Amino acid sequence: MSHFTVASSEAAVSKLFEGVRDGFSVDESDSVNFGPFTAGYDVGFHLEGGTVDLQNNGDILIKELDIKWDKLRVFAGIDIPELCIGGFCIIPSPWGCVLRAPRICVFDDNPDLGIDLDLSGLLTSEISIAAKPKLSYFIDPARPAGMSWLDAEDANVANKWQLFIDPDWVDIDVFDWADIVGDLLDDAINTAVDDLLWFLPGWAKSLIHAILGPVVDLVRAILDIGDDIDEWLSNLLGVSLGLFDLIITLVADYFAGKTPLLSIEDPFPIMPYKNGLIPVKLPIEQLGITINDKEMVLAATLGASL
Amino acid sequence: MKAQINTHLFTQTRFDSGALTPSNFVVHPFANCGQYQADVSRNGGFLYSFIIDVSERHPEKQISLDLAQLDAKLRTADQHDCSCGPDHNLFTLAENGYGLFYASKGSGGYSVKVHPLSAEKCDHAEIFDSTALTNDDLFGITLLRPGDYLLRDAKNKIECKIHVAEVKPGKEPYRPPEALHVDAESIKKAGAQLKLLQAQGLVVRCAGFSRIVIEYKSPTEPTNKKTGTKANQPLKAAVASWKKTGVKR
Repeated sequence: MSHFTVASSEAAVSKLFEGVRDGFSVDESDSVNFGPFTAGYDVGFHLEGGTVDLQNNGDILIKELDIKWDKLRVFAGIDIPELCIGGFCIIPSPWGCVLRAPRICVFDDNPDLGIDLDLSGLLTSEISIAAKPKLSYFIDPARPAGMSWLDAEDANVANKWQLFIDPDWVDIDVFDWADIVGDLLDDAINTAVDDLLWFLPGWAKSLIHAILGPVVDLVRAILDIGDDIDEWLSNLLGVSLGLFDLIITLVADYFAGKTPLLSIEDPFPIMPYKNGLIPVKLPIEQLGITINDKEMVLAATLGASL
Repeated sequence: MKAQINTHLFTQTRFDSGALTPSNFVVHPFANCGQYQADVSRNGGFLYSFIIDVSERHPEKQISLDLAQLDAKLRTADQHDCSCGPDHNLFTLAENGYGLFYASKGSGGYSVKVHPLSAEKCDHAEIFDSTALTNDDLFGITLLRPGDYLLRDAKNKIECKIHVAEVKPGKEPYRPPEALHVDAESIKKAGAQLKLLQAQGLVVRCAGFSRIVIEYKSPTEPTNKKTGTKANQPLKAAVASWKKTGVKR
């Protein structure tokens, strides 16, 4: 039988959750070589919103947790195809070309074309979590062996019971890319080509554009972008670059083990230092938790000694 | 990696069969077998030599010799103990094959002279000089800049205007049409103006030419809106061609 019982309403749990949620932020970048092109991302985001829904089976459901992209840059680098002139047949024959002109290439090598897309604020996405409460006992690694509970409190290295939200699953929904994403990509491609050819006279740029053909189509073909750029971006980030898996892992790790929903000092302080007297504290021998659809209940069993 | 652009392709305004640059080339048919020494110069100064071995034993119907690349390679080989092998300056060609000389990079200025070293079964010695082309030689060029050019051979007092029309980027990638083939005789007769599109090849058979110089003169002249004519009326457009059809790319 427990000696202490503390119940928190769903609203109170929500408040606790908000505190944990607001401490979460991510800043990550990565790139992968896909052969015909390289692609990468540079992202930063935090979490906002979200509703907490306690379940009778002891689960905690968190829904509509918005990913707020502080930074969402996607970049791709491609080699534009060799651009050469000449190579025409000088003397043809029924068996093929007998004499052929040399091909002279505009570039020394296949040039890189770097496309940089700033998509911050253009992606709507959210996270859902189904979790179970997880209690663990934390012993501060900075606390020396044999240190008394009183000294540990003075040194701020007291032991703690910690309550985490341990996700059974985390789901990320990428709802929508803003309509202007396609235009942004086309602009980025044209800008990249202009940067590459910036020092050439207008007629030379025009000729190169003519030989390359519509460069936007060319780059889209190399990057294997079909008709649906939203799908391509989601696949690139989510599947090819594994960003969404990374987000899921980071979120799950954060809630499951990095930042507790609740932290209870052990021994639990009842009365602080007062008038030269040492504080009064109660050792928590055991701590249990139950959840129903209305509240979360913590039940503590006190120990015999500190 | 940021590739370097071959800027000479876009800045050059004078093209000379006796001073090869990335846009032009010369061709000499090697009708007779034997060993030939090719001496390469740049802007009049001798650079290096190499050997062309012409024989019915060799399968190559064409050798394309990049004088700019060879310049770097052979001069390095001369200066250092390279691992190029003893035949690093030997090239082989089938009897009746073609030797094509060009410069793929840089500002060019290369010329080449070919002298026979031996003649196994040849009745006559053969000499090729890119500064003094002969009847069976070819001169080729790809003009990129739109506008008007003047082709001339000072020695033979031949002049011909060339108009290169601008190509606008379209929905499909631009592929230049087949090269235009002309010879001196037809140009002299008609006083023609050659009409090309940007990046379209021009091949001149050097019957009657000895040294071909093409110079860029001006951008395309604007059309007079009232008369529909250009400020400088073109010469009679009679483009002679000695081989126009059946060209395979």
